[in-house]
Amino acid sequence: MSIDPITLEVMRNAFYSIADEMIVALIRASYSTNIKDRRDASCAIYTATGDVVVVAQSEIGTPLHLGTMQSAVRSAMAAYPFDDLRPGDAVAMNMPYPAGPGHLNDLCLISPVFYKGEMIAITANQAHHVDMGGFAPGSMPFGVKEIFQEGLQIPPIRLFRGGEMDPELWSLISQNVRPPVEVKGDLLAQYACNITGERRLTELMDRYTLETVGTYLDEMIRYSERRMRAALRKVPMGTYSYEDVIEGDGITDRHYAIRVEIEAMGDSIRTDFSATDDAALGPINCRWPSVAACVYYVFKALLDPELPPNAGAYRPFDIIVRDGSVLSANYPTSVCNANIITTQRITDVLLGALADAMPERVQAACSGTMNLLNIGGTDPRSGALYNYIETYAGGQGAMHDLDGMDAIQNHMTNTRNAPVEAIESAYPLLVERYGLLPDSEGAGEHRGGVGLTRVLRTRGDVQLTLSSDRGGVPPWGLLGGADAQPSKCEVIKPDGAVERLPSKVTTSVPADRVIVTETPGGGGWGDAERRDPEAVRRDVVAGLVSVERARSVYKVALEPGTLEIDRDATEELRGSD
Amino acid sequence: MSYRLGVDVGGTFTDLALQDVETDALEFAKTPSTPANQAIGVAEGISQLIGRLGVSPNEVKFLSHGTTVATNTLLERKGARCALVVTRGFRDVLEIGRQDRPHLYDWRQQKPAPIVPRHLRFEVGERVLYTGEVETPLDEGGLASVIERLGSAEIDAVAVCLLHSYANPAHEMAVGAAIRAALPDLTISLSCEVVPEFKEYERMCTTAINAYVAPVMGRYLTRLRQSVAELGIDSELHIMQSNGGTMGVGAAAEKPVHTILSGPAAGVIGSVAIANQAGQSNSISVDMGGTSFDISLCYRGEVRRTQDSEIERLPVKAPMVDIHTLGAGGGSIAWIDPGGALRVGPQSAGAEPGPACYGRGGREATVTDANLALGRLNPASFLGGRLRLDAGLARDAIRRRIADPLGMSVEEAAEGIVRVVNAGMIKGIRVVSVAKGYDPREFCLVAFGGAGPVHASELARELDIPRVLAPIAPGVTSALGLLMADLREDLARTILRPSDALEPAELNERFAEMEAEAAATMEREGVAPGGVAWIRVADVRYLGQGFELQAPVGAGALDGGDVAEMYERFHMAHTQLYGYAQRDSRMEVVNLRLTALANMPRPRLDAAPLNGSRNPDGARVNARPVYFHNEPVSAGVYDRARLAPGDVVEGPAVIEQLDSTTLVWPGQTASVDSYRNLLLERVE
Repeated sequence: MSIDPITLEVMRNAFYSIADEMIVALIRASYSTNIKDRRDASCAIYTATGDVVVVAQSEIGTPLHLGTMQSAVRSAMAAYPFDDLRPGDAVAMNMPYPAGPGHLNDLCLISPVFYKGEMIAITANQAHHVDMGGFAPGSMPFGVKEIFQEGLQIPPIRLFRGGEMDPELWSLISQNVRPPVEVKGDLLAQYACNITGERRLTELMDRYTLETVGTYLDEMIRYSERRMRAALRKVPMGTYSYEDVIEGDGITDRHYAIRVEIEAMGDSIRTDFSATDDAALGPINCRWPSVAACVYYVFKALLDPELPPNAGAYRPFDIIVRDGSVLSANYPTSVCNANIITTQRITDVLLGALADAMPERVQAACSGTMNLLNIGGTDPRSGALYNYIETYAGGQGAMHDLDGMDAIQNHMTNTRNAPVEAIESAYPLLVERYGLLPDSEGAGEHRGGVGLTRVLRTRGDVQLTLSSDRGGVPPWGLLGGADAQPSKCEVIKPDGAVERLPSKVTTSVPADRVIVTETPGGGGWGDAERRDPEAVRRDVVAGLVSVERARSVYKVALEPGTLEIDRDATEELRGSD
Repeated sequence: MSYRLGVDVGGTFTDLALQDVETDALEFAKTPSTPANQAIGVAEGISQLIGRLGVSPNEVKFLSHGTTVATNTLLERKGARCALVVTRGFRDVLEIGRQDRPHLYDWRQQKPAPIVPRHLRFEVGERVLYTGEVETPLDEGGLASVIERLGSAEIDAVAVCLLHSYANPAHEMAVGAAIRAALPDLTISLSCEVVPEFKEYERMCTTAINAYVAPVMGRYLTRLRQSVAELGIDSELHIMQSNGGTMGVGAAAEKPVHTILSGPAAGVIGSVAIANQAGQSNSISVDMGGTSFDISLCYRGEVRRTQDSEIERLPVKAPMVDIHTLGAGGGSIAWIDPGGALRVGPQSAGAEPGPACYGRGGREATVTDANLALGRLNPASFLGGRLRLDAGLARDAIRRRIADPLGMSVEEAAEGIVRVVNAGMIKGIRVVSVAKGYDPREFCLVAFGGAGPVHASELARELDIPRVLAPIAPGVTSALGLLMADLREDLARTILRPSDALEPAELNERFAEMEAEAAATMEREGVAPGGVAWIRVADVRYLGQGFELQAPVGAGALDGGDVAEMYERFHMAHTQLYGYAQRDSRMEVVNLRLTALANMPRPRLDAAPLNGSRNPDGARVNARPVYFHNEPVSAGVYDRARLAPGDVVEGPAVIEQLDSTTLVWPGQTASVDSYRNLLLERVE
């Protein structure tokens, strides 16, 4: 069947219409705040051989899932006899080993799509479940060394048979997760998502024939490959490298270096992470799919943000990791916090390396950590177990012509916050402050964004996991731009005593403690003394930069009271260097 | 004699519809809008229309108005200098929003600037909990110093949004009262009055927008009343709300955020009225103009509404007619992307330079150029002949930009452009129908706007929609809608109560509260208590879910049985949308909603007898070749104005009228119904 560019576009719209309808079904029917409000979920349509073709977009999915969903489906197909599947069946799996989701929370549900008795495509989705059992509520603990401690490992199993959840498998799962009602509700939503996709694909084939739909699913893959290769030609040929660190693993405080060498070869790219340090003891390690997700993300964002990501877009990349390193840990090394921490650092080193090649496209370092806070325990109001989980935004890195945005989700996550009023009604927590963090930006001709602060008071004894980074090594600036302020998390006792938490910890916190979290800003771009004094004044008027900092860092003198620019004094400050 | 008048102000034209109350005869008019002061265009339009018909101003007993003042004020950021007062510790909620970046991959896409800049956002010590309990009393001293700073901030308006004010508004009202006492000239918007629903960011942003727009709206309405009074019209003024109902001028000045979609809502109400009258109670309305494509859905005679919406990425929490807008129109530009696919839009050639065929220097191939190249538009009669189109320029642009690079003929490329723009619109229609659990096969597609009836048949075919309706006067639907709307008030209360802790008494109490409030509003608008119809709804979810579904609630005093029935309706709605219900789960009632409706006397559209001959030859102008599936076919050309009820036009055909063109495909017929609508159906 020949391909024409018009039918291609018609089919593309039809496929995306289906994928978008799938993700809407998943989000709306889901139970946990994590999926329904924070949208930590993705879904896609695959060929029958497991190549991802169409990923639901519309600012909903998370880039992390793009790489891992392809691997999850491939692994499931390798380990499970898909030929045995019948209509209405769905296979669940959540195992990062040998390749799959980044951590056990991200359960992947995979459904075959049958047409006239033949399996002709696959629909699948991945959603972050609030708890998969294990050492601590939320299943993303620190202090663990093996994946066995992280939670329940689900190899590919047929969780749904003929439209019904298998009661025995469910009984096993429900016994191993803390909030079984939420997990079940989310699983049903995941199933509804796949069924929606199957139903719509069937209708599309009824209209356009199986051959046309199949041909254009394949063509979508070639299309994305063509677009990605065209985009990659914008990267100047050459070899670029960079390294950055992760501060500790929850067991030791040592720094783990992530190192990359990128070779741009025209319409293809080799990224070699072999020089990265050996695997950590604690759960900051990951597997190849998480690395791949970061590579795809960075090049798509830099070169062609609208490019439909799929198996074809991945083909031009050769991604090399070394077994036994942080980026390719060996079973059963723990991995559960790599999604939150390590992927952000992989992104940073890729951008750091490419800053030499394309300074006008990259950003200075963003906050560099998702600042995940997980608080669980027994709700004194009802006696029920609960689990609050949220990632906090930070500053965005500046670009050559733009300030970074303040307090915004960066890179590998884009989950929404939990409304204060929703937190307080759903959990025994009181929010005392939620706001921007002045003076936390990386100064520069274009400044990085400021971070934020969230202050919580516990109303009962809780188990707290903090999964953060950049507590000591700050997000970096570029071309003379300054580094940003690092992150911090403190617990304050009623008597005012302050305890600073390590950036990666699982610990108990009693009732009536105040937990103060501050997230990093974004790095600056260019020399702060070249920043437009008017822009500095605006930041001071807004209360985001102090008068003192304007003077000492940006070398802009403002009249006290009126905050008008003192031109002469500014000239003198700036001229004196 | 007495008349009812609807005036809708759009970006370019002000449309008017006048109804003779005794005979139900309708007259329409179109005059240029006056964006700097819309009141001028309105007054001119009215005096022209009533002058032309010899209607005396004091015979106009009812005046209903659709306005874009609130929308434009927000979009152009030309609102009041406005401050915001919030609970201590939460000054930045308005700016952080939901913390997500606008585009996952495009870092350059910026968040909208907050409606109130940081230095005008003030904190006051106080704290209420989600239960309504006061955790920290209001800090009177702190409030006094905030008021002092407000006094010197040179502002016109202030919004107040304190945490959990939906559960206990006492602090918010006390803050409002203190500001009002000290600074009586300020316009004040309290979140507990504008939108007493939970989730602070959405409530705060909606309240801030209200405050930002209110002074501008207030001035406009004052001017408008003056202009109308100067014409000698002493009728009360009714303003169209985004929810598709009208409200009084006083209410509109206080809650202008409810008029954000005033004009488009009127259009939807008009289109639904036409569809309902034509016996099509399930309809999907599409309005395709030069740059945008608006879609709405009406099921069993009821327009779909939504409680949450976004304008330019800012949340607006107010009941609205659910309108889905795409950047697709006649001016949308065709291009070839780096992967080799043909794409259309969202870039548009706009009105200047416009499509290549306008001959104003446009060099890009647009959808209008494609329709012209395919013979589907008449170069001589576009916009009633006011603009002569140049088919040669259209073909040149298509050849250069699309046909040559893709190695195809101009006609193939043109048909490709139409198919591609249609594909995007089909996806949009699926979003409002299929994705929300509606089966398009049960609907009629109502096509408006200059370009709507050109594309409608292909859209309908791809979506399995069995028939298309092209109304008699697509250009003045909004003005007609203004005459069709009810007086409407939507109220809501957040209760956040698990199903096992909710007693019928609480429901009765809350509904009674809202009914009293709405009854008072209706009384101010001169509606007798007996003239009000009530609709009660509960937003219910399974405990732990984040989205609610609406479950209708019975009338009168509720007992346990009524409440059980409400839950059953929720299970059924959940099953319809998601394919399953969890009857053993606890549920949660999030909000209670009340709608008060007062019927207005509306025109009965004139039904003419069908003439029985079915022969449209009297309206046939000539024939010309039109491309269908890459083949030129001779299509009959008809003058819409000369078609009579009962006439049946067989496709292929083109039916032309002043402001639109209807394309009838081979194998299709277009019949003129007794209201002079065109009904397009496939011949079995």
